[in-house]
Amino acid sequence: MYAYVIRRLLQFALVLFLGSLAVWAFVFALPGDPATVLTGPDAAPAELAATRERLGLDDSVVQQYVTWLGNAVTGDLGDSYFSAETVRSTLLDTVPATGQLAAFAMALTLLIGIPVGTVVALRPRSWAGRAADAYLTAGLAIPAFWLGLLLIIVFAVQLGALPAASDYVPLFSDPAGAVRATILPALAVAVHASSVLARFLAASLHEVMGRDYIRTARAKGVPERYVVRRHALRNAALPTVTVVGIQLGGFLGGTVVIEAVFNYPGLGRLLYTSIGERDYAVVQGGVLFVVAAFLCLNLLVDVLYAYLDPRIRLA
Amino acid sequence: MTDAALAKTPAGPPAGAPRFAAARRFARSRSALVGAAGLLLLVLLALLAPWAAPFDPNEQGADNLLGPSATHLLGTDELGRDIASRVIHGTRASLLVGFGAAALGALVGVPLGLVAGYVGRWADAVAMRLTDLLLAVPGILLALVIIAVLGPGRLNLVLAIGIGAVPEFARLTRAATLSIRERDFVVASRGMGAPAADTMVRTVLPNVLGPILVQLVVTASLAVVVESGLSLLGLGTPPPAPSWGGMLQEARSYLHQSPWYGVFPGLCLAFTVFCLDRVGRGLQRAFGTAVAGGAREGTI
Repeated sequence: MYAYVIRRLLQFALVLFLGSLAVWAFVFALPGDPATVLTGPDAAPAELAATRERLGLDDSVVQQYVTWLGNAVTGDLGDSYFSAETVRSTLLDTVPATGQLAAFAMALTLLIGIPVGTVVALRPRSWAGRAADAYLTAGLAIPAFWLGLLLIIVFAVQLGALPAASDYVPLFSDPAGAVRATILPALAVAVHASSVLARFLAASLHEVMGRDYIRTARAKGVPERYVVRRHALRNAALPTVTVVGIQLGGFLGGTVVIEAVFNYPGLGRLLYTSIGERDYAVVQGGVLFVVAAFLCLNLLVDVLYAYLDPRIRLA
Repeated sequence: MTDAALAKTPAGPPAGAPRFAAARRFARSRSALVGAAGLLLLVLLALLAPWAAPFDPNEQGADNLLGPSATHLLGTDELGRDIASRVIHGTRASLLVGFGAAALGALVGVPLGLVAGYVGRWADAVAMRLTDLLLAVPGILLALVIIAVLGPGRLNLVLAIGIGAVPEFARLTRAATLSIRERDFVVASRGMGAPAADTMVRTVLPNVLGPILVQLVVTASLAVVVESGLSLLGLGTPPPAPSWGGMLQEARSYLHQSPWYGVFPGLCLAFTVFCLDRVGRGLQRAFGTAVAGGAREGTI
């Protein structure tokens, strides 16, 4: 187990390093250097030179990267180009909002996805199985942002029951308000994600139900519900753990369009508006955060998986 | 890892399978045929858009934000343009970018995976860390950043979405290559002194085409959604060219005046994804393969 964890940690560190390099290099791939973006097209040469000096753009490339990385490790991601805030505080303003949306979306995904996947796998011919299969088919086809738009039309515009633009209301200060503000975007994300999860779980469960140990369990007289709960679901849940990890990582950095549709003040909308404003310091810091968070989650999931399934560590 | 856990049968057709057996298996599934028929309809609409559409998609009129009527089947938009005609013409942007991005992903990812799986060692390590890196960024975010660098436009859109599709093709091809590289016919090719490149292209590649084809369809359905998402953000297909995502973006401003505006472009999008999914599933069953990357769907 230790050998596996160490191997996985080294891999994690290497990819994170490559990621930081790519994120940092991104600004250099842009037309014009940061100083030109910052000072605007009509800047005097002296002003441009001063800005270049201040940003350290005259140092060697290696020196610049090392300085940037050193600062990033200590949590200093530089200053926003346009607002008076640091990138760090700008990010910290939006991360809790996206975290809350991700948590809501994941809770709904699991609440819907697990029963749907189980019913599809175990009772495909019953009315519940057919309904679940129909849900799964529709959920896979309907893009989250379109569903979000439809939800806004129905619940906000027509019924006036929920807000069309979602503010961030922290769950702990106002639980009811938080649910009202987050439920629509979370549902829009969860319908699709739960369909993906359900399909994985159903495939996995279907395969497990044909295994010899299930037949053995039935043959020795284990009641069917225990066969399903103790023998089948536990084994089928394993590959699904990985899917949930990947989805959660996606919720943290990939709900850009949903946040834009609901005008939700999260990380995705921040990155989108920063790209529009050419505030590349924020984009750089934000993408680095997303990459780091995603890699940490992946590491966590892989270690968890290896802990739950000894076969992985030995492979 | 997920793919390996879900894979039921090794990649490639079963030994001794007659040619076109996969096509026959595909044709036996009604659900796959429904998807294929829908896809054919969409392709025809895209090709014949100027004849199929009742109006010029960019022709403006005085009657704006109309509801559905006999003249304008789906109503008109804020500039008085016929929504039905714009939806029909929008098929072009979706399919072009969708299949273009998938093809680009395959064009880069398949050789990468082939070399990683066949050559192994350092080539494998480099290729896999590269895919790890690309997989660590959500597809839509990666596309957004690439568009920020390259600027908008249809070709850049294909590039931006296609790059995100590379790792899945690379991983899939690598896994399939690994599973057959020690099989007798590959060893025989090596043993006869064929250069590595020759063995890879002529002996290994034809036997891993099945899963690659499946992945091509799956990726296209993802790319169609990402294209619409980017257009919704105003970074996709540049206006005034009609695109479903762009129409959804415009519809957002008129939710009160004309709530039906965004319904049909989204429905077409869902129909396209549905058809591609059916075709993908049919191919998957026909070739007996698992698909990579399904879990990355939908986080948009």
